[in-house]
Amino acid sequence: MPLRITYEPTSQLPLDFTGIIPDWTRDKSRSEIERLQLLRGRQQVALGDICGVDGDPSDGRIELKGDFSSVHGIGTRMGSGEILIRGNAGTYLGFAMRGGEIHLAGSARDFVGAEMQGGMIRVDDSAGDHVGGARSGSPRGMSGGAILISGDVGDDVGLRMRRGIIAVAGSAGACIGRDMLAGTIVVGGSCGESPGCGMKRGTLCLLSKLPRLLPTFRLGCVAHFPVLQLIDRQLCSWRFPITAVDFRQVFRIWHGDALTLGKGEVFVPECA
Amino acid sequence: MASTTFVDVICSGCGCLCDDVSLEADGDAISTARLSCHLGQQYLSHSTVANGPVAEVDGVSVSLDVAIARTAEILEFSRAPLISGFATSSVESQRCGIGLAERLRATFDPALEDFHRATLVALQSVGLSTCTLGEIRHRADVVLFWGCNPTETHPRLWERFIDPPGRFVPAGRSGRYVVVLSANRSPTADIADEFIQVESENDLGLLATLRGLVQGTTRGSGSNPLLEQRQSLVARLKSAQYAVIFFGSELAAHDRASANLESLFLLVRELNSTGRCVAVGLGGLLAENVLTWQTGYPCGVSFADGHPRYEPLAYAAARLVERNEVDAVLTVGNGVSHLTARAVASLKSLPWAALVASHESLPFTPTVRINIGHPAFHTAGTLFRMDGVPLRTQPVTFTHLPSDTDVLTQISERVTSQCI
Repeated sequence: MPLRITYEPTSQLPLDFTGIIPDWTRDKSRSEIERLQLLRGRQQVALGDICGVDGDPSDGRIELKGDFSSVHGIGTRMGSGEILIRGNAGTYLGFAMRGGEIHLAGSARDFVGAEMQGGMIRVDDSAGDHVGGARSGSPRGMSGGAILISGDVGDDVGLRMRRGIIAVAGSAGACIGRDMLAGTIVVGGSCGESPGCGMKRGTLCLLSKLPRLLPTFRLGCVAHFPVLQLIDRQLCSWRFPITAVDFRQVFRIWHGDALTLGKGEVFVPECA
Repeated sequence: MASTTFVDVICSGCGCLCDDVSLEADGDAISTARLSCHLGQQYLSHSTVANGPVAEVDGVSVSLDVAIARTAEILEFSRAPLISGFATSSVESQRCGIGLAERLRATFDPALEDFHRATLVALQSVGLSTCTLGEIRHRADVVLFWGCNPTETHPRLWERFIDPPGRFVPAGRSGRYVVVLSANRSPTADIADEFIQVESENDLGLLATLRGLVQGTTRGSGSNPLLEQRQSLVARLKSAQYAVIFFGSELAAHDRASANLESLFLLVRELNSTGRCVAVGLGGLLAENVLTWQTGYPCGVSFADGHPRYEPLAYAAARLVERNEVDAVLTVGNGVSHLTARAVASLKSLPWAALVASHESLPFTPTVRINIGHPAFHTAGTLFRMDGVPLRTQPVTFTHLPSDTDVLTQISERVTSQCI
């Protein structure tokens, strides 16, 4: 039986949930968890005073129920275990997480999985900007793990991403994979302009129509690419059927961004 | 009353902060002014303050003391206050505002346009070679205006820094080659040597082409007049003794603002490998300098933890108000002009204290309105020009209204003893 936390806020004042992760709750009693001080606005409040807490935390699972759209930093630096959120989440979901799994049965705001190093985040609905990206001023985005988003996402997905995989079943905003160092981003729906600008290495797989690429990308060839089948197999193993696109078909490959290292790859189906 | 003549008065009508204005004032009004730009004229028209109320609470005229007490009460009982604005405020006033935010553990975000905020984010990511306007006047032989129209937004920039001769450009305007790069032909383009029209949504593509040409990774094939035009521009920038790129809000008109600006700053960096190139943003007064030296961050700072925490996007005033993540707002100067319509609608449901110049109109009646003197007419203070040069203003006319610094100090004194 997981630890259950219920939150029904009366206002949208920001609540910082940093610290409530299975790594910490696992060996704590319920009263200790209830006494945990959180920051709501500028005030310190005890978790038990604003949320309902029940269940048993020892199995490393946490279930959050209610409206968490103004709750930020859920799963920050999580190393193991599982968090299930039944509702929407605020910004920085799974920020810098190292392992375990977060499943959001709703939508999230900006910075989902920003700077994450391992583990998996599943979002059943949409997410905001900077998914798997870097915080402002930070040199590296996501450096490991997987982010699977069933809905749409905003701009700058995978900003300065270093490693890992981001799969989006819906559409994506502009500049996906900007300044990407490595890693893989798969987008099932349409995507905004200038994907991969400034990318050094890494793979963008755009399964819908090709948006306007920067002139510093050049067409490589048209062929069957076994690497795409590997990506497809991996996504299927996670039960994330991204689209009806057949990864065994012929794809075009563009190389870029020539302004940086130029070793990035953008795949688009030949028929798109 | 005998009139007094003031020379070298500072005009804060735009980010140029022209400091060569002469005017005559007789007590509480300016009788004669020698100014040549329309923004300056508009700015001077605000120098005379009508004999209106000093303060209002819920639209009812009250004494200053009552209004300050009510503001302190609003902030004191708030669980997540926001302090914003300061777009035309003095350094002294900003310091008071930041001090108050720190005491209240509030969020502080100066009023910034999207363009300005994106500039700060890009500046932090890739850095920028920049300079003062004086340096441009004395050294620049190639001037590129990208996505801006200074003839309308900074009317005297041309007259003061492009036309006159400089130490290393003795011929003045004829010794400089001026290029305008914009989506639409503007009055600035009419007086430039060359106008290059760009597709409004393709600045990033053009920047990539220019950077490719500078690096030598993009090469022309056959006769492509568009590419030849770009090649000629790059050749001019590379061969310049001192090239300047003024950039403006058109670069931030789309959702790729920070990508555009980062790419522009990288272009400047790459041009510096063969010659000398700098870039200057054509904006208003710099409202972020004080916050930067006080906290280390230029905008979007929350003191809720007891220490500064930086989020330039998430702690942007418009976003916080839009999402109802604050429950009280204090604005200084015109702190709502940069808010979105949705944010203004959300603001209606919040207690809002506004410290504004008496001529400013607000979208609706705030909970508390305190009319303050204009920082450049009625009080002495320091303002930052758009290139980061601080200039000291002196009072030229008299007003019965308090300064924003005085009001903020008094609010601060009220909340200090009770709040934290």
